[in-house]
Amino acid sequence: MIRKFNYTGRKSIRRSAVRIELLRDSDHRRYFSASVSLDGLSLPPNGRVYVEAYHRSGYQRFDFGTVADPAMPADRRLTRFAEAVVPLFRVKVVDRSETHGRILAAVDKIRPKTAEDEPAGGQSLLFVEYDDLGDVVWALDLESDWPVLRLNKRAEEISLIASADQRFLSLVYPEVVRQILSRIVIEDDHLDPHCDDDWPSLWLQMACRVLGVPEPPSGTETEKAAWVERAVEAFGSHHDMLKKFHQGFQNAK
Amino acid sequence: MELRRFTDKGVEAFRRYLKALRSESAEPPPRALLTDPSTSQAAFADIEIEQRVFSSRLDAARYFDAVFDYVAHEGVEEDVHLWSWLSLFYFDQVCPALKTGRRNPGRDYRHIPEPGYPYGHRHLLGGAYMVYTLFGFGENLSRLLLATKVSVESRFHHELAVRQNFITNRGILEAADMLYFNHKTQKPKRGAQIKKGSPGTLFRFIDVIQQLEVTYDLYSMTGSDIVGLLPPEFDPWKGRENLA
Repeated sequence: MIRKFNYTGRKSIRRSAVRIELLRDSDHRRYFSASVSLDGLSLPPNGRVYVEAYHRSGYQRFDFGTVADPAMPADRRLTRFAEAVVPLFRVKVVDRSETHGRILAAVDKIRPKTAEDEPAGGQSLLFVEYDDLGDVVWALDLESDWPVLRLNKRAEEISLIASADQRFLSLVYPEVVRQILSRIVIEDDHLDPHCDDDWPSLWLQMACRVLGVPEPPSGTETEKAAWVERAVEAFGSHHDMLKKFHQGFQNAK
Repeated sequence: MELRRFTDKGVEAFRRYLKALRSESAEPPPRALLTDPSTSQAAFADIEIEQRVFSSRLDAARYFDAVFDYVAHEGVEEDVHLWSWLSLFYFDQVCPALKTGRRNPGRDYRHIPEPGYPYGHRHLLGGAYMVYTLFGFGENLSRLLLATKVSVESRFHHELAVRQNFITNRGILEAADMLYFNHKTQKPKRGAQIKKGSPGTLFRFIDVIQQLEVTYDLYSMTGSDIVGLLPPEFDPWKGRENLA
């Protein structure tokens, strides 16, 4: 079972202490706003605060002043990213008083809020990107920083289908849940929902809290696979997937 | 000639040709696809491309940097149809014929880009352009990764460009260049890419950097700063020009 030990002395900034929002200026160019609460971390006043945006080959870094004197930079435009993608963010507090900047506190893989997001308050667990997937309609990417449902941008009306077609929802999403939970519990042996606030922990929290399944067992692979199937069944029940499937066909007639 | 890009039909025809090569076909490259209006179309107005011979991937990247210098086109590096067309245009260099006359194209993504992780950087031409232009590494920081001939992806490119935290960090690329680039031969030092676990080599560099970045803000450091953090196993590489 994976447990995380912190030997570095680095402090964790709670995900809930960071809020990042993607916005557009009057010229329709993207920029972001960020609020970071470092209260209670006992960081030195001169620790420098950096906010970094990244996605695949794109990376931008912004200087947000110091712990004692935070300052949002005037230019926060996201110029290194394609319009279609939403970069992730990380926040670091760095001790620059010595030659080598030591990281004092950090949080990574922050997904920004966007104007298209659901009402604020929830944490997105799965993101959607559009790519050329050849003859494949959808694929799940678990090798990036956060689970991503990749949809084939060449498939007609795929955005509409993926968000509103009941047949797509009922056929695809249970399999997405199965693959993600299998990766977390069986392949990665990550069994503790409260280990961290990274995506595997958040997915396990969702399974336990929303779907009502117990925490995954630390037993054999067969037992873990059975837990995954139980969670997938609970996901189906919770979202009335069979009913959605039938409705989808009725609507298509 | 005029710079063009494939249509969907052109990409698929090129893909079929690559597949045929893997089945030991000795067919010549289907160059008609480059100009047939049903398989290709003009890419940008007034941009010409030359059939020139590149001495290395760095040389090719330098050329594409100049070609696309005037193109205000977001995402040119991920333009599947454009880079596929360029691969066929330079096919004798990205997939040279062997003595037997056969060609060994390798995986499709070497010739037809597959944007994103994990193969987005592995297009032989587009991947070189990304290192040189998109990441802005230019001559001095691209040379370690792009010193090979056009048909070969070096281990340095393969291992460093796939890691987002490496390829976006100028200091790490500077440190790798300081350790592993031989200024006399203008190539990577011999022995730097040998098997995992050998002291001070590329794979150990990757392991150690990944450990250091947990503690240190490597983005704020220069190459010299980072080299200064490395353990003694890297000392022999700091001045050594060649290894037997």
